[in-house]
Amino acid sequence: MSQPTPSSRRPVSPSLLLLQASASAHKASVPALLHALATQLSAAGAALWELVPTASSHSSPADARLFTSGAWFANDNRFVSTRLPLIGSATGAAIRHGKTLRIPDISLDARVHHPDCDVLRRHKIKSMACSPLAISPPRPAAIAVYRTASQSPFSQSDARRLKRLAEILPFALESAWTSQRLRLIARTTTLLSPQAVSYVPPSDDIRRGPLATLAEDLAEALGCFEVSILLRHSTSPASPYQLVATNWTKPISKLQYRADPADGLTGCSLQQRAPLRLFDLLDDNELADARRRHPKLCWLDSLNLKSALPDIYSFHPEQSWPPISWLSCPVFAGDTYWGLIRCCAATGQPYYFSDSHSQLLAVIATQIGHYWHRHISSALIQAEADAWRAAIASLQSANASFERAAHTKVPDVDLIEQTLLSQLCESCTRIRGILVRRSESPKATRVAAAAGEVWGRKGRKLASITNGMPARPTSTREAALRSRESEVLVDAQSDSELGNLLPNGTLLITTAIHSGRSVLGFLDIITDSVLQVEQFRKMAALIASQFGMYETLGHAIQRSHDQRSQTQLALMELSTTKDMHRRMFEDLAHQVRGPISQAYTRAVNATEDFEKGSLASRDLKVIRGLCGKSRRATESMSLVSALSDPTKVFRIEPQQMSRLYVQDLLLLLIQAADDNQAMIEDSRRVRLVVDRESINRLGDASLSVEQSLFEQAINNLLDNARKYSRADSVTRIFCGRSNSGNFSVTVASVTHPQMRIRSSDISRLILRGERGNLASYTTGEGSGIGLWVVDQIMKAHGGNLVLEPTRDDGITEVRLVFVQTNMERQ
Amino acid sequence: MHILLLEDDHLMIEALDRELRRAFGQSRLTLESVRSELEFRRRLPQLRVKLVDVAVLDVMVQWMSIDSEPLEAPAKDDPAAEGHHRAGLRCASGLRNVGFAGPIVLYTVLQHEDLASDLEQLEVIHVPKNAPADRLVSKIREALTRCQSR
Repeated sequence: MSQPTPSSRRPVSPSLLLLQASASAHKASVPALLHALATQLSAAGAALWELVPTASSHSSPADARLFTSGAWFANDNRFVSTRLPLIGSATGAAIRHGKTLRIPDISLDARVHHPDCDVLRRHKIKSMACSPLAISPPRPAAIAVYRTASQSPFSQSDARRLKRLAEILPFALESAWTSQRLRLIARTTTLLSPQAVSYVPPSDDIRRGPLATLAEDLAEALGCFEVSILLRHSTSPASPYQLVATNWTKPISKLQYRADPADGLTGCSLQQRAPLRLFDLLDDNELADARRRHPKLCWLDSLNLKSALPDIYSFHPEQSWPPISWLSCPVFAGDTYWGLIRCCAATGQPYYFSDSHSQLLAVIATQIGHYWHRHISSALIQAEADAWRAAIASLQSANASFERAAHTKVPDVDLIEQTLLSQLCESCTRIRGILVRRSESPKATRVAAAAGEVWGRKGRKLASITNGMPARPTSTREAALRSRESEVLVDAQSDSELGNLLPNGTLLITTAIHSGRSVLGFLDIITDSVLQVEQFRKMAALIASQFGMYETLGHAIQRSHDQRSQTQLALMELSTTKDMHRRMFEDLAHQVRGPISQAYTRAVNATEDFEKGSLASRDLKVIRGLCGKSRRATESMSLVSALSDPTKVFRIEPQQMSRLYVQDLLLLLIQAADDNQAMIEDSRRVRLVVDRESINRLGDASLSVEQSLFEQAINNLLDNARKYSRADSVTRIFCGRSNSGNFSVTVASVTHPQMRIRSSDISRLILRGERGNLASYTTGEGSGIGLWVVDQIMKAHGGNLVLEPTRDDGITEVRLVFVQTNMERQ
Repeated sequence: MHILLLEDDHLMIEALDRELRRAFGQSRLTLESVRSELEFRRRLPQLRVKLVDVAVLDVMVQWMSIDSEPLEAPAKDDPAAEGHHRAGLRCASGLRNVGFAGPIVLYTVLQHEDLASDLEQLEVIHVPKNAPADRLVSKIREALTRCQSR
């Protein structure tokens, strides 16, 4: 005990102590400062005592206790006590009286008999001295130094030196803490700032990444056995808080919390959204006091903390476990609440959390908040971009499918829409499902499941919207119908129609699918992403309009397809009918042609047998004319029949060419003239005269023609002359040859002055079905195909029909021109 | 017997004249023929309908004769502008309008089903031209008998 201490030989230098503390600020800590102080006083140990925080406010002085907030001992620095009474202990006395006390032999002093002093005895302490401290923020505290039995007791001089050091120590502690605090803030900035070179995004591994590093740094600086950061990925009320980083190395069973007291103190703190500091979770009085201070602070612990302590404090004897202190701080970014950071102490000094610790954590929490907000925003932007990309790809794919199908058949709109929904659900991770409800048939409800989670049921009977809609919409569907826009229901489970089908914590976005003014159905997007609601609302509107378009186009194509089928059927039927009619025409013409030709021939022959000028002779001539006209009508009927065949291009083709010599031609023309003359009323005094001389002049020339067609042509011309010639006129039929050698048969008739043919009329009159304006009113017969048939016959013979304009003398010439190749000379 | 005949085919007029005179007597028959719709219209105001016993009208009749002076097309808003296919029906209607209550026979190549609605409306008798020659005569007789018994 009489062994001289080094301090007795060395002058105390407070300035030096402060300088040392400041100079080594970057690594200064409470134990280091206490070690330095003990060295100055040649003490075997030094301890910093503070009043238990809650005691000063609510406990009576008799119950007030002191705890060790820092200690250094030469042989064992793990000195912890939480139950040193304020009244009855030497240290308490120093605090209460504000005086420095010196106890040369603690075994003789009644004030040093508390059970916690067993620790002193375990450290073989013989002498002690203590002095009150004025630490900041102001709180009752004292510094105590101890010497062992091998050292000399503290002297009066030692006590005075202790007093001086106690005046300086708070500044040194503050300096050390400030240094430590600045290092932590700088470190946090380095880890989380987007400007920092070392910036890295959060990791999926809760023990890696910048937040995990920060948790480890905080745990070391504050002596925590656990520092964890719990954040959520969405601001949705239903979004849980995930453990995103921790320094806790042992297995963790609970990775997700809700802002609910049922989830323990963490859940309660999440719900409070305010800083929370508790001194000792194992002290029932302390907890009762905390609940008095925070009336809403009420939680259910699923963890038996005491049973877990041996794992935490394996290095401490049970009687010297430090208080289990709690400090949590909310993480905000602006007004957005993201979660909290929680710290549990202590594995090292200072064994509790002071106001300055709380302030430091608030600063760090703010930085975490901004860091997380940036991360989520970035992730959201990425998610939005991904979602739009997926939506565009799905729509493009669906459009391409629709277009491909539309080329060949009626697109399967149901299949295309179902495929589109499935693709969207697979590629948009924040879409939990999409559902389409058709208005006309609740059973046609289509469900697209996402991530293997089938939450809908096909065929479920859904409520229908009645005509008399209630004043307030009772479902999201009704609201969407009423507003004609997308409606968002934050709590999907509260939807009257779909609520019991949807997962907890999801949102429902409902959009009506319109086609014009009618509502075809509803599109529902179910998501858990509050942040993407606006995006999904726009996406829903886009998809709904796309579906509306598919439905409208699909119906239009279906209608068109049906109409096309009907038209094709009708065309086939029409074609069959026309074909049948054409064959009937042909059959009838065939049946008529023979008898008429025979009748005509017999009439010609009979005419010769009768006396000229007799009534019978005249009748026979008329009969012959009528038969001739009928024969021509029959031929025209055959032509009309051929015209009605859509599969063939109409063309008259001579079947049996024969040589027509001049004398034959003369007879043919005379016979034609006679036939038509017989049809003319005597009173009109219109005569058809064949100019024999003009024909005889042709000599031995002959024509290569099909005689029946030629007869048809010449008779058609004479028929016109008969019908349209002026009364008291002569129509001349003559032949001739042009300078170029072409042969022609001309019918020249006298035209009524009002029916003159002008040059501009000629091309029109040769067309099928065309007649002169007045001509059509002067006959009750005729179809307007006469000249057209003649034109076709002449073209078939390589010749031409030439219609001349009416001359000034009223004569109109119509000429059949045969080219030289059709003529031969004998 | 006074028959008003609307027919634009002179051969048909000639044949009918023979047939009717043979049936009703050469001297007892007055056949007043009209050759076009235009002529029918022009003569209608002066027609003494009370003297006409029966009207025999072709249906497809020309609007005017080629010998008309001047040639004059019907006005655009005139029903005749639609063509000659129903000229006889228009003339029948005109006859009824001037108070002719006697029988009107439509003697035409058109078939009964082509004219069904008009036949009923105008209270006319249809005789197809392709029927045996005595069909027209018998129909005229029947109609006249019915008229006299009223």
